[in-house]
Amino acid sequence: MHLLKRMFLLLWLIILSLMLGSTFALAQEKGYPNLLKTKELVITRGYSKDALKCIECHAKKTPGIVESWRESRMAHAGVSCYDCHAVPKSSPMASQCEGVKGTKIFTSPMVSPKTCSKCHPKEVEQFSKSGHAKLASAPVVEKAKFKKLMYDLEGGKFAGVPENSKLRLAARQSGCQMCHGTEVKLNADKKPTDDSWPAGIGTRYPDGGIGNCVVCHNRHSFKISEARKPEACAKCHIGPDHPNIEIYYESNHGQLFLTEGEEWRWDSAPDTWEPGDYKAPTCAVCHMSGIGELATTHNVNERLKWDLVHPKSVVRSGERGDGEKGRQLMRKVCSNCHSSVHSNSHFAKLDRAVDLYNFYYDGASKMLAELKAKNLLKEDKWKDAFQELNYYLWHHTGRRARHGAAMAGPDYAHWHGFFQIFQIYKDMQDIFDYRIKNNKIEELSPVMSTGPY
Amino acid sequence: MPKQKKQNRSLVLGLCIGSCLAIVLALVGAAQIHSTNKVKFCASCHEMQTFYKTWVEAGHGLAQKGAMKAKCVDCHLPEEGLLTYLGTKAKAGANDYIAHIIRKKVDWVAKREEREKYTYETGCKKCHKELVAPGIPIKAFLAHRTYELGETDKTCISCHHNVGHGDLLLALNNQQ
Repeated sequence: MHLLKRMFLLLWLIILSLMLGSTFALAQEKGYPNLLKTKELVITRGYSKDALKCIECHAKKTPGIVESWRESRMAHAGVSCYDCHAVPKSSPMASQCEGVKGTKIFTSPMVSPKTCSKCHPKEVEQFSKSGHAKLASAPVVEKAKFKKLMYDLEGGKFAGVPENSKLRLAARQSGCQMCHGTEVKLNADKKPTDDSWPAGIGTRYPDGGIGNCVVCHNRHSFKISEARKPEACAKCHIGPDHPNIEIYYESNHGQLFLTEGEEWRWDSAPDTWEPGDYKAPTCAVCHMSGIGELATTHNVNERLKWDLVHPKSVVRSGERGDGEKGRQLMRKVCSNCHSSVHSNSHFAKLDRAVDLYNFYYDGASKMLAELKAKNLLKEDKWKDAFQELNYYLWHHTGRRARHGAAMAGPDYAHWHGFFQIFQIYKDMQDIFDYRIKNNKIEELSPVMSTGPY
Repeated sequence: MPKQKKQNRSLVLGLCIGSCLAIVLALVGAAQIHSTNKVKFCASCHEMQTFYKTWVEAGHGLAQKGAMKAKCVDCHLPEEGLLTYLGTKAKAGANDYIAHIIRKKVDWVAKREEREKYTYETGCKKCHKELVAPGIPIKAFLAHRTYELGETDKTCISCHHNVGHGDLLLALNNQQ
């Protein structure tokens, strides 16, 4: 009997330890994937020997990347490291990592849209025509005014930072190029310099490709669901000069997204993602996605009427799209959920807000022109209160008012928009009157800040 | 002999000689077209050596075991009917001949950017008839379907740069 009791106890202990063990294992399974486990990733199907070599080596060296890739659609379609990163030896970006040294394989850490277009030609063509490609990096790469801002002003030249100091790149590298993109420069080993890559959506690659698909389709899982969420756009469309994500969150569309977006369906196939999968649109729905009779587009300009970012708002034309057609297309988007009465009222609101802003802008421009004619402007506009105010009028407050009206965020249309516009305008009027009356520039100008955000 | 009869006879004779001459010329011409369509002929100009060597090694070339071979003219002449074919052949041939005679310098590296002007899709399609055939790798499926639906301006050549001459840029750079 005693022996039986002992055996019973032992059995209990064994069962208990097994249960504990399995619970522990389960807990581990559910948590963040244990990367150590994937170090020994061995695949025996679907890829060439060269491709497998990349995957297996990188599973050890950079397991995070391979983890992301493993769950991606790319992996399911048999697209591996090799398909996007292998380049011909003659490519200006061709280099070799340790793993392929001595072989005929050349790779590049940079992947330009030229590579993406091999499988996604239509998407890249549409994207290339949009403001997200060449136009995006034009300021950083081409515009003298922007260069002065990045290197001389923000880069501190005026304050004494030496001409050849790398410090002068800091503002561009940490700010401007992160969103706009820049021209990638190469070291002697054909790897990108440590100041020109990675960069934002308009990145210009040495192979001639312009654009950066992974800004929205985060590498290396390239999830469609990520690009469809407003956060993908919010990387750049945020902040005092174009608070698009803030406006969206404030709008009814955004409120619904914040409240119940977790329950929506995010991964329907392209052009089949329709109302019902979601209850309110995200940025992607209105500006890009296939909805109703409209097909998916990667040209974000296509459904826009107004240019709302430049000093004066005009109907889009030329390289910025076809504004009248854009309005018609956007109306088609709205019509999936809204009556024409509702849409008419929304667009009347937007057009009125744009006209009002333009009215202020024209008035300010008139004053500016008169001061210029009478030589009553400082050469350095960042020390001239009138010119600084003029800048904030269009670049910050003006955009906030216009974008607030466009995407139904009243706080931005009003408090961060027209409420500040009228005050800036009054200050400009005062300075204007003073200078005209006294025929001189006031001795010390009040320096404008961006104001409450 | 009446004048009329003499004239008729010479006309018949003329026609006979003319026809014979035409047949001979046509045969010679056809033979010429045939012989000038050979890789050997194209490669007989020293300017073409790099292109010949790179072709041998590349996807359509002789060095590829089991692969379908494509001769120079299969890709570099349009398969859009006899007249276009012969017209293009005559024009391109004359152009190359003159360039050869006057020893014209050609910037081949830059010329690569005009590859779609000198390589004809119709040539590709003569062999590659089904672009979304069963068994096609899934990664090619997406692009080929977009192409078949006419949703892209890209041609075969815009994506498949290396099928004809491999890493041509590398070879051209090495040659310099």
